Amino acid sequence: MSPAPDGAPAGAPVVGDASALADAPLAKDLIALTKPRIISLLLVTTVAPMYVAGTPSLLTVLIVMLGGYLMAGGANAVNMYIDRDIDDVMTRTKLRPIPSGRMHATAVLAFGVGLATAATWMLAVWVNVLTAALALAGFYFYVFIYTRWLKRSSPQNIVIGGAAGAFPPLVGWAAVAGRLDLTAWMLFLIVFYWTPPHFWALALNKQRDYGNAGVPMAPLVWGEDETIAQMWWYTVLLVGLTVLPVAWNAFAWVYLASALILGGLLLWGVWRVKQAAPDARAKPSWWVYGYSLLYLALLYLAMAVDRRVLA
Amino acid sequence: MLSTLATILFWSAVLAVIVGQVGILRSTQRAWRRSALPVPFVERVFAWGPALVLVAVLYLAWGHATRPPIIEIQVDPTSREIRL
Repeated sequence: MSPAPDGAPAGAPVVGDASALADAPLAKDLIALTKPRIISLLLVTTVAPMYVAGTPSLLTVLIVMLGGYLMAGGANAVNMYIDRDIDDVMTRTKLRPIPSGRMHATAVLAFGVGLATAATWMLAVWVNVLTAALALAGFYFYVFIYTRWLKRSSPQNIVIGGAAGAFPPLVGWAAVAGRLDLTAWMLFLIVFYWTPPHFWALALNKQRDYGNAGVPMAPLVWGEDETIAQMWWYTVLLVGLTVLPVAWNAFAWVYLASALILGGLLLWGVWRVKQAAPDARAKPSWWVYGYSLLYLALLYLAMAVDRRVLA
Repeated sequence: MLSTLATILFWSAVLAVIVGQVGILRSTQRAWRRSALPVPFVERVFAWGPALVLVAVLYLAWGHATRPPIIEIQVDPTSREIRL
């Protein structure tokens, strides 16, 4: 761990001074280990289903958000511990706390496990055991199935591994309903089928990085054209899935209109990647990567709004 | 029971799901055919597993969409009023 500037001990900001905390290198590194930008989307897909499943109290929402952040943050920290060897060779990741030498790998592992343990405890005690079990299952899936096994062994790593990112809707739903039904599993499947076109849009632009690290991402193993073809078919399937719950009145017109408009834009974006010449794919694929984040957030917000409007 | 609009929506969604899944499987098999190495069994499971799950989900979705509507009756023991 590196000391703070001017020789003060790391992580010793002035009490009550938020800006000092943000400037402290250790605090910044600990926050960076949790990958807060990625977690913000996970929290949307956790909280929105809570309002679809019922009418949660503000306290329950806050506890689930905190528990969800800690669990996902713990998973991300353990991911950085496991991937410390390849993070060093990828430009996108070599400034992370471990490869840059600012934090010791064992400390990062302890931090990640500690966060996950705290999250499991608080969700089990203050929400319910099913919620805690689902959140913990997401943690294990991400750490062992995706990071430890699939990421370095299969071009379908993010297809199957994408299930880890699909646990948050189940967590949110279980926190309110105490059980899971078909609509909850549809929300899981929507994230599951959203993940491949989202991540492959990034992978198309980061092939050299993944190649250097020996990660068999689809564009490297199957080729760009086949990966883009799959992105297209995954998006077609995804749009169909998003419409399906309307058939059993899980959602109404607010959600339906949102799903069709947002899905239509995503299809258009992937179609542009498909039609682009090989040397002109960077711009449309970056657009798909960015828009797909917005797509998922807005789709889940539309679910909650739809339920609230109907209520 | 499905209304006409719900029926159209349901079957349109099912069509998109099936077309998408078939497209994914065909694309995956094209990629395998081009590969010089044999395809591990687990890769086949990764490709076909989600497809089989989808079949089950579509079956359950049909059951959900066509079940009779549930009418909740709230009875307040302190009043003689029954609200539907």
